[in-house]
Amino acid sequence: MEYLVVYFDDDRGVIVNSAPGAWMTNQILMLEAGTYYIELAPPADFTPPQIPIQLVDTTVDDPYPIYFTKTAS
Amino acid sequence: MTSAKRWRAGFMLYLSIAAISCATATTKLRTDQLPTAGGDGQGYRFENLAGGKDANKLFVCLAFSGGGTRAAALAYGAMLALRQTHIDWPQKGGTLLNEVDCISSVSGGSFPAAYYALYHDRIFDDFESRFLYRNIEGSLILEALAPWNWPWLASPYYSRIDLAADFYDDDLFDHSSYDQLISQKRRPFVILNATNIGSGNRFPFTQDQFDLIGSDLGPYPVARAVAASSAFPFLLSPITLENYQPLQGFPVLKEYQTGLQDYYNDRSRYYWSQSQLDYVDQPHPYVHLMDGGLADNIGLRSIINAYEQSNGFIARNIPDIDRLVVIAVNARTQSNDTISNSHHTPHIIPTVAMATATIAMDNYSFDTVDFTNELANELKQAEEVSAKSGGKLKLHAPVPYVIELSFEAIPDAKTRQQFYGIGTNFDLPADQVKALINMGCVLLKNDPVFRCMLADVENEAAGHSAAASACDGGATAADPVAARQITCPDPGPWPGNS
Repeated sequence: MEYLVVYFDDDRGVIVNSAPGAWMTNQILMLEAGTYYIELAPPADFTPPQIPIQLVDTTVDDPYPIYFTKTAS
Repeated sequence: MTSAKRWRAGFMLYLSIAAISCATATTKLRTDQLPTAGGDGQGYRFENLAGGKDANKLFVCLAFSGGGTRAAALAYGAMLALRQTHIDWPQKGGTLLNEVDCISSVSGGSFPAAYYALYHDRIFDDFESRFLYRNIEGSLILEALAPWNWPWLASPYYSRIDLAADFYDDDLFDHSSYDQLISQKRRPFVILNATNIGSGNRFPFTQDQFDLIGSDLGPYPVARAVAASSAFPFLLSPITLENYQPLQGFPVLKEYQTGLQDYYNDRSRYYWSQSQLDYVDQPHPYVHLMDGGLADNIGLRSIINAYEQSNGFIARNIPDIDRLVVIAVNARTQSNDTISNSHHTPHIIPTVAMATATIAMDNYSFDTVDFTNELANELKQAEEVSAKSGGKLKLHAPVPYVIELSFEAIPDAKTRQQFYGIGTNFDLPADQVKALINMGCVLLKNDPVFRCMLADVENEAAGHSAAASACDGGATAADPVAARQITCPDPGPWPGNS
């Protein structure tokens, strides 16, 4: 498995490849190696709207970080 | 009536039968049934069955292998043990059987899986008499010999598998369809697995899979799915479905689209995505299905995929799962090698045919169990590393428990060989069925991982959740109250001392 952290000001649901799940921001997420499009659950008060990533060669000690910034909704 | 009129009447009757039997039980997806981009939507999907955060805390999946009545009886015995396993976590006073969230099955294991999903605890009232102790093979032969079935069998659109499916529909599954499973709105989510013999890939009977052939699983008879899952090569013919793709407005899941970019990152993800997209991008008009054991004879692959893939129902719920329990009931055979005793070239039928059909099944069985164990170890390591990191970032990895029940765990070598020697057909002597039911229960009750899992659950219910897992350090000493309370049924006289 590979490890990812989605940083955001708030604790918010994370949407992976358009599929909603129980994933949350600011936690380590586990996914199989591969290509993903990451976005956040509504409201649409974040930028960029979507982040594409190639998730490979991570460890739980060194997860892949991505950052969303809060905008005025 | 003149001879010409008689011929015409006979021909019209034949055409009518052909027309009726040609009409497959599948229906095209309506526009309002098209899945959303995220894969959500109507139909037989995990997320449409009841449950929630609390229901996911203890997440239990069962995998029932193939192996005819022997597999069905072993799985049924394990379910008897689960039914007697009383636990107080996450809810007070439940049984572990009530906590089962999914069952994935192939071939013989699909009979108890589907029956339990449809009828729940009624399985313990009548499944033994309706299926396990019945000569299913004899009944199918009688059906085939009945003169009123000859015109059907003469039709190119009706074959032995249709006869079997109709028999299961009439005599076992009471004409139930997937719509009934959906309307119950309760778990377990049952995944009956067949094999697409055109592509060689696993074909699970779920709406997610039926989306890809533009078809509504709802009206489809459960009996036909079971028949496809257990259509043993050379004995039964394939079950055929129509593929309605390309379907206008059909959204292809992003999971599969991105998977096509992962040839160098993850080959299994790449090839699985490719095989799924082939239903949509290069659609063949028909899908021919045979025994699920040809692609995975344990039934674990569907559970592994649900855990690994980002659109999988386990992966999507991982942050809510505290304990992930996978119990694989593996009725694998280990028959003596009699082929190698002779210098004569084995006969194509039945020796080579049977070996061709079963060798791959057994080899693949090891592969899937090993892979599941690797995933469990990975989860365990992730949890440990995260715990040592001082809590800078939270990682919610469930504690995994992978339990494989097989005859290999029978301590006495002679008894073990006798169980391995039981046939994988659908007509076993009553004393063997009785012994198998008992063995399924005993194997689970005595399994060290099962016992330490129960000890962990009892510790958590008692408020000792921070304590080390009873599985650490070999797990052989765990003596949970819940396991002590399991009383397995009488094993009967077989195998005795013979």
